[in-house]
Amino acid sequence: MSRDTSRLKTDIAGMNLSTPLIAASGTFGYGDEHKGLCDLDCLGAIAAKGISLLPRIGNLPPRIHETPSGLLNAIGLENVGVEAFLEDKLPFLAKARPACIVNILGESFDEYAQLSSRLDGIPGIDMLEVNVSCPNVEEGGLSFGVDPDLVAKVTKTVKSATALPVMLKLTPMAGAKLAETALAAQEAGADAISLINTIGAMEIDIERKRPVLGNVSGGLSGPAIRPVALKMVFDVASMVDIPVVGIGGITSARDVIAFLLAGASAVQVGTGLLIDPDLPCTMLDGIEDYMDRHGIARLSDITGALELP
Amino acid sequence: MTSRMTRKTAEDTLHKTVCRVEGVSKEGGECVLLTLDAPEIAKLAVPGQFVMVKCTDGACPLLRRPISIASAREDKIFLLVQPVGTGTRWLCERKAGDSIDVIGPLGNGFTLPGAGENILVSGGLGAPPLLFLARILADMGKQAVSLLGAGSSSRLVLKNEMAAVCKDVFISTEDGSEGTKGLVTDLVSKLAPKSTANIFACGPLPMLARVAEIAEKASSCQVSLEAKMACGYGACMGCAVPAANGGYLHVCTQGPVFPSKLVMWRNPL
Repeated sequence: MSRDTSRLKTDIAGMNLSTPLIAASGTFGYGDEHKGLCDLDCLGAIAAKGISLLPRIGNLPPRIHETPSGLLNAIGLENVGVEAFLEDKLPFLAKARPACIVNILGESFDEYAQLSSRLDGIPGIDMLEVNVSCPNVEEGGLSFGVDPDLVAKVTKTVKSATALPVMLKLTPMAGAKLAETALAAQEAGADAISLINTIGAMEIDIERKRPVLGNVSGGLSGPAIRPVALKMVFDVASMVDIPVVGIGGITSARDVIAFLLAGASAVQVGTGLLIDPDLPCTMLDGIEDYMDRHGIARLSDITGALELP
Repeated sequence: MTSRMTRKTAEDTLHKTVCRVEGVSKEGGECVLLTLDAPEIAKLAVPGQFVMVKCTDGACPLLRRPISIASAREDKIFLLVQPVGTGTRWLCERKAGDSIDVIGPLGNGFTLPGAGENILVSGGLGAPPLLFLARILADMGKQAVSLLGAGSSSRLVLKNEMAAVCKDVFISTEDGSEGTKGLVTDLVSKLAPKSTANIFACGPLPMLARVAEIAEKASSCQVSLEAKMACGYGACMGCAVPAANGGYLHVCTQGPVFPSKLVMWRNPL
């Protein structure tokens, strides 16, 4: 890449990013699927497809459905499992220029502990991102992420099993307790927070009188959720001291800037990448143009620079 | 022995290109056959592969639509589009000179046959990848029989194009308005595929399930599947279909063409 990215550099909990754009977990595979469609150098990091201790085959299809400006999905966290990830997938990610964030998921504290310790000290991994949206099988299947105490416990579990920086990926399903879950993660030692994961949603085929997804309901992503995500990022970023990574329907440079202004130090691009794998490069042009027009020397000067009335 | 042509795999380079619409022609069932100037994709494409097409100048609809390549010749690719929703309606309204954003070529094509009779079975909108295949078979000096099924005569597509490259074209319509009255699978049964026949099929899932059943005696049966997908290149894992031996197959990177034996046909979706 001929682009001078020095002013686009950012830092999340000690992890250096050449650009503020991170490929969101679950939307960029393990980084090697794109075969020339994406200049990886435009990405600061890749958050790999969420990994569990054992492989998961995923949900009954149909798994995706388009809604107005949204993508409804219930993939079911299909993944190759941690051992196959380390063997077959990590070598590409470790060699690629973007930093490598490994997204982990579990259904018990023990699973989170085993995964984190398995990934600890492995060269090429720069950070763990913890998905807390999975059901907690030990406590009635309620998602870990909706309960501040469980979020704190998962955070402590992961932190004590690895020396890697740990980023908690919060779920909007925490609702009114979202800020509490963010504070709980911070107090439990999380190095960063990313939000939001998809929003619980469903759609119905009225002629067949059936849900459109095989899993009945799923998670909504895409531009439809962006203003909701922006407010949640704004609320959380104003309460915590650790870096916040904004996620939710970001599909343009304008959207990136909005999340940075709201307090994010970097952003994740997900659904937008599925549609336009070259989107990060287009976004960088727009971000640089914005910095030029506003006389901004460093990307970090945008973070939290929102002016309130 | 089965000869494999340059069967494209996910290892190959993909192209995202904004291409010019070179021509538009009407087909049956309100379908439109688009000719696109897409040299990078045309050069690589093999029968059975598809492209992901952006169906808007703006942001809605959000996702690209997967569309089979109906042929690739010199710098051009041909896409047959039926207006079923907002996206495909937008595509059908394109005029010569317009631009369309396309990613491809995606997925794996048909494995080309060795000796034996070649039977191409298409139901409804299943004809496009089989026309591409028929043309390649003709180029190779191999003969094929095409079975085309549709609801009615007015909804048949690519009939003349098929006739130009196949030894025979047999037609079935559900209302009897053209050819034999009934389903295209009845034609397959009547033809009673021999153990040396190679069957290639594309169409609705119940039709493919029936073809797979009839074809159990054939030497090979390949089916081209459809599924909703967000990316088309293996990142989203949205396009899963149940596999015969448990678990799932991914239509975009493992298909869309599969040996019929790999697919779970009971309880089709």
